[in-house]
Amino acid sequence: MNSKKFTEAMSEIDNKYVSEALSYNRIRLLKKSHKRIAVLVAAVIAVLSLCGFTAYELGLFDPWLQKPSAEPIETVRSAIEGQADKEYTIALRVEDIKVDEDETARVKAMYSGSELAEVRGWTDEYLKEHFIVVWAKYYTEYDHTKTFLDDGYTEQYFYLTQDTKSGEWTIIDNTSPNTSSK
Amino acid sequence: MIEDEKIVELFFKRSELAIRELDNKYGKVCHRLSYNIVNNRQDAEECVNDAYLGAWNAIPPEKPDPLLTYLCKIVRNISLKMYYRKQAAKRSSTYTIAMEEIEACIAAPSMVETEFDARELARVIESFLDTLTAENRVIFMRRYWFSDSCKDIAGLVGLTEKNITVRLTRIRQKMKKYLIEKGVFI
Repeated sequence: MNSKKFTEAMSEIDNKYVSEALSYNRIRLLKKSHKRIAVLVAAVIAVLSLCGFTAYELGLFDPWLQKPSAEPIETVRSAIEGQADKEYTIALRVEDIKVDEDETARVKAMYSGSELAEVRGWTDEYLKEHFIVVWAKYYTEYDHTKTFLDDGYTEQYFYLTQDTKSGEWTIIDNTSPNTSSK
Repeated sequence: MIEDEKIVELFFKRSELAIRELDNKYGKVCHRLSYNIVNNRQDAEECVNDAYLGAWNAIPPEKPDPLLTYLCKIVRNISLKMYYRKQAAKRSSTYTIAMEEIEACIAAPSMVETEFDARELARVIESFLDTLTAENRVIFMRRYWFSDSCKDIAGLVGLTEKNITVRLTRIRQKMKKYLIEKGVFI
């Protein structure tokens, strides 16, 4: 080629490229870009807020209002009955509650030597003596104008550890509520 | 400032106000574009006036949208004709410099394998332009269509003149590679 041929080709370039170069405005583009980022941030905040609201309504943020006790069953009972104080709870009663030996053995074996146990400072000796699983079945009725939770029976496992000094048991974790039982 | 639609309406009414409004609104852009090519105030003035006359003859029946793009194309074509006519004078316009840059990045004529006509070549250049960012595309067009100086482009896009020079070098290298890949040795 020579530059003349290139020039001829450039003369045939679609108008949109010429218009783009004519209307290019860096400040406008920056504003547009900032606007896009702002919209994206707002959308992310909205989604996170919605997730947070849903989680709150489902009770996922609810801490157990437990009263640590020397008896693990009493600690769990206090936690369940503490739910009665929630504004959306109309009625609550504990139907059955017991230490589940099989589940305790299973979870102890699972935690033994695990990374989680290491992170939490649980030695095998500690788990052997100071870890327990309590199973509970309880009935609840909720104000459905305030919560999505269903009425009925719930079964749940609670994992507790014992403070070696005070001897009190504290809930450190629990399974998701099983509401399929009658 | 009067809207483009109103100016086009004036053309359709065959009102001479159309030319005055066109010049008021876009005269500066047209003069700069033409001057970038012909590198002479008087010649640029002549080219722009010829472009206005061209627009007067074409509108109607044409109804250009956007008007400025249409007008710039006329100004550019007329200015290029003037440039080639007066090339013997060897004026060192920004267009001359821009074309020297392009020639340095393209293959020698002896390497021509496929004879592309201007329209085919334009389509290949368009597809290359589509691979660029909007900013780089504007930089390329301002340099090789409008024949703007690197300083002017720097002011337009908010970069330094040095940045523009480096960007243009990279864009030309990319274009060279792209044209070779497409089998176009221009």
